[in-house]
Amino acid sequence: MKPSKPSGQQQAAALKTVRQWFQARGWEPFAFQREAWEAYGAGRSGLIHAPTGIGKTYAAGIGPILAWLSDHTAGKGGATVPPLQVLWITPLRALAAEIQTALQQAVDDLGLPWQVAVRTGDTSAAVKQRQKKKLPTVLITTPESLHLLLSYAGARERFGRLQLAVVDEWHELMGSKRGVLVELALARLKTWQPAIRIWGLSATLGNTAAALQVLLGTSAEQGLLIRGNAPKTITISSILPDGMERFPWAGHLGIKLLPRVVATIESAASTLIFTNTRAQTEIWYQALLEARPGWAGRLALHHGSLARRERERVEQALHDGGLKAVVCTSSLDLGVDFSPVDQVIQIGSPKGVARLIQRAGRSGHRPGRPSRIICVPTHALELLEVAAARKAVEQQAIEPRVPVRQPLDVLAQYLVTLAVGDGFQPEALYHEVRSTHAFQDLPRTAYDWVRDFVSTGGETLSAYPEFRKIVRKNGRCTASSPKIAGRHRMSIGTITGDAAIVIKFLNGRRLGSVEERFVARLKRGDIFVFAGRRLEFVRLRDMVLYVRASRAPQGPIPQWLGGRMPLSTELAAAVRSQLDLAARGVRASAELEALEPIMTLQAKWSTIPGPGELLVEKLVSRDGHHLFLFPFEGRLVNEGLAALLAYRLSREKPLTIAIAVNDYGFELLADREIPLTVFEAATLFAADDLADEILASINAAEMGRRQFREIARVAGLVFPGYPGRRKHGGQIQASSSLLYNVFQRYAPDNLLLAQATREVLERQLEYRRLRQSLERMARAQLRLIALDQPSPLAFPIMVDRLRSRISSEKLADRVRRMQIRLEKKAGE
Amino acid sequence: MPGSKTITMENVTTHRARGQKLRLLPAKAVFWQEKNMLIVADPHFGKAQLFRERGIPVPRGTTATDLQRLTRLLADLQPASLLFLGDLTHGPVNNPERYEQLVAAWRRRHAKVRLLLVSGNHDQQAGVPAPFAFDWVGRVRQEAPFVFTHQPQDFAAGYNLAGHVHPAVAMAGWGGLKATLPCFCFGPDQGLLPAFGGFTGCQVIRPRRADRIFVIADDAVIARPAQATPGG
Repeated sequence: MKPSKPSGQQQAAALKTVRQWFQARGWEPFAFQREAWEAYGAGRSGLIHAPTGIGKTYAAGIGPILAWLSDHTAGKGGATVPPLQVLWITPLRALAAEIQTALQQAVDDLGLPWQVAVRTGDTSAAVKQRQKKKLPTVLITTPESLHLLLSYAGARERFGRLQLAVVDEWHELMGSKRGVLVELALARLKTWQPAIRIWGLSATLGNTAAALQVLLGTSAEQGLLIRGNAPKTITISSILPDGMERFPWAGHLGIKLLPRVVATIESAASTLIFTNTRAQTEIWYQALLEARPGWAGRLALHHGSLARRERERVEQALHDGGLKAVVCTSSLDLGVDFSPVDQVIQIGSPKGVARLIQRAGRSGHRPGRPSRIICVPTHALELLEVAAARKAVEQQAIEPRVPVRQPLDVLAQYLVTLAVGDGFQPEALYHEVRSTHAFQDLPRTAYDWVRDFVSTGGETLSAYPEFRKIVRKNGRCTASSPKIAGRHRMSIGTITGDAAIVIKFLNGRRLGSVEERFVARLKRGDIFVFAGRRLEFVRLRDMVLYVRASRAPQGPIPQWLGGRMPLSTELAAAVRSQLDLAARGVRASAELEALEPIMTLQAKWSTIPGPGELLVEKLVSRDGHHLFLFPFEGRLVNEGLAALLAYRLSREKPLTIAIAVNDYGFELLADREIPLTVFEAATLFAADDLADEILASINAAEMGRRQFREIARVAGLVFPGYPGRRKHGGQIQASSSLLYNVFQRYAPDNLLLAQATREVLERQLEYRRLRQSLERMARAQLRLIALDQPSPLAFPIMVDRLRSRISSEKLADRVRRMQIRLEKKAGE
Repeated sequence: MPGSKTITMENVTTHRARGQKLRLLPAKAVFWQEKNMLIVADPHFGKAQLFRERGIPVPRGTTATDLQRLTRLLADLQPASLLFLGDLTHGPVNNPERYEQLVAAWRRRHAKVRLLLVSGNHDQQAGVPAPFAFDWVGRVRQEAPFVFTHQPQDFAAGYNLAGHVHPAVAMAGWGGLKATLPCFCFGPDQGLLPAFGGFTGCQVIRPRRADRIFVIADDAVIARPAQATPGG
């Protein structure tokens, strides 16, 4: 069946054909593309990293086409569509169609009898059924859809002749559990087809070499790292407020700068406006339309909660160049290819260097032209971040992506996925799973525990017959019933959805989705803003909120969870150096100059902390006794530090401490005085027993419970329900927080609880960074300042409150006191 | 005899409805003093087992613990009768033997107490396990001045006490602290009990102005001031 090895002549001819095809389209293959094709021809795997939109698709996709052309000189090969050769994994459904178009073009023009097709959650049932019989030659799919394919019998035959697996946007996948899904699937494919080549496509990261290792697992030594064309230069500027006294220190929005933003948009033909949250997207879209009603129809909105059709309409319009501006979130960070815009506006700090580069890269693709990004601060201190980001880009201090290690919830899901398909041999699978980067150190005991957990509920079979999900037959583990299989396929995937409410017009047109807790606050007749429209709540039925358009002037805007990004380590370090410049009066940039009035005030009322100093401010207000500390470590680490200090302080004597954080510092708000002298005790910043104490402090803060939501969903503890059925999950529906309570009480040794704890430490609190920060605080020279009023650094924290609670008091006492306060307030 | 007993538990709050003394217990139960009756709603016994049978590995022990909690209440209060306000059993299980053994043993221990069940929506599907040996089962139970049902309903005949809702309220207070706590909710014509079961969730309700709310915080029942209710 397999043709004999092609001669050098055939290879040269194939390369010539492809080159001519490139030239016919006005291109010349880039050096990195040719390098990738050669490497593919030599049977190698690797990672190609380059900025978005410069030919990574063809760098990876042409290799197998060349091989085919070499193998099948004209006349041979016939017109029968060959079985699956190339698997293309993309994190976003939205990108699949675009990759299909690009590859289809090459396949058609070069006369290959290949079929190129997409399979994602959006693919119709009829097409999926056809694909179940025979997969196309090139299959473009998502990690979740790939796992679904693995959950059907006959997967090995379907994937057995795969030549190439491409993982697109690997930088986006590798830091997430979806990346682990990819690692596991690749390990399976390698077992079936040891000669398979694996290529990752990625943006440039701080740890590109590590990205290669994670992709290839134990076979990483043979991997090749190919660097794409050098990135363009980026110019970063800010819209500076006219006068600092008219500028809000902690205004939630930079909306006061609206007229300047409007003028900036007017000055260019096309603009992308990135915001950091979906809610801000809605707010800015409304504000821009109000400022320039004439832009109606040429101003668009794009975020991840909009219905696919709504988003596609905007993407198409962007393609066609018919838009003046699009307000968007990170939903347009990734791949989706459109002609570059003239400029990019970033509302609020980008919070990370890689993100800034990625977003800036959306503008000015013309050769020799720099990318232009204009930052709009949402509060004055964000100007520091802009100046810091500029410096970091100069120094190419780009964030690394930290790969996920040993997520047992993903393993639990995967074992069931395989069991409901062809089944698995536990011994062989253990070794296969350990060939991935994520599970390379997986202890046998943990593997066996997960297997027992999903097979028998973690109990000996004989004792309780009621739980029997996976059974062992002839040495293979398979699902005990088709019902189990059906239910499991519904829940494959790792993306956590808070219960989402779909928003539809009365005529059934779908607009998108919002979180249940937003809808819970609304009642019939209420007006809210979504998808750039003012909508009236008509009725809520079966997780669908029916709405009609409204002419009412105002309404609330939904807040979505998870919108807030912390300042990255790289950018935080750059911010500290900028602050140091400011403290020394160096006006190295327009941003620092603009900040001078604020810095002067900070120095007057308090002080600007220099390197090696820790600033602690104290303030008494009607709310209570405030302490402000400024580690400048990003909100995650600051939150962890705040919880830890609150815990340590309240251990000494019963205290109720409320916490507020931002990226620069945190506030401890206590009901009675905490003397500043406590900070002089070395024990307060001690790093001994840190993990235990952090955990003790976060137990109270319920972070574990939050983290368990995702784990419960991934491990199949929370059943998402059948689509189109009235009741979601019905009798076996339980919230993850209820499950968390039950596990804590009745099965405290459950490894998934331990994982929740570990994820809280690693992901929510960035434990290692937190530890380093604590050590730095312990060494720092303390600057203890009693304030008469909030300082410029403290004020934003007071305003931008994210409260979590820590208390050594009993819940009952606390509630009593809440009640007394409420009564007092009611009596005022 | 009514009123003759001393309740051994502390932190018990008394609410008066239609002249009757209802003792609100932090164990999520009500003791009707005049009738010497213990009332609980929504235990959802056997729920974890149902999950396990459908392939969701929830730990065991919730139902046994809930029965022990009932035992303690019965021992402490010595009521003449125990009334369940519906959703006694969560759903039909495939392997009921162990559950039924547990219940039978529990019932033998409390053979003297009169067991009453106002059946709920879950009971329609799950059926009423025989080992409970109920003295009375029905959809509506009237004992003046109260009318007991599972789902809240309006009655001219009396004050309605019901379950079904699993009520909870969101408390917001000093310094932005927040907590969602299960509660008792007493309106002018109707009272809701919190869910008794250890493996049950709760639903945040929006109390009306006239509703009196008692939240359960650890081992205490605390009245929430009526003025603090949001909305109206």
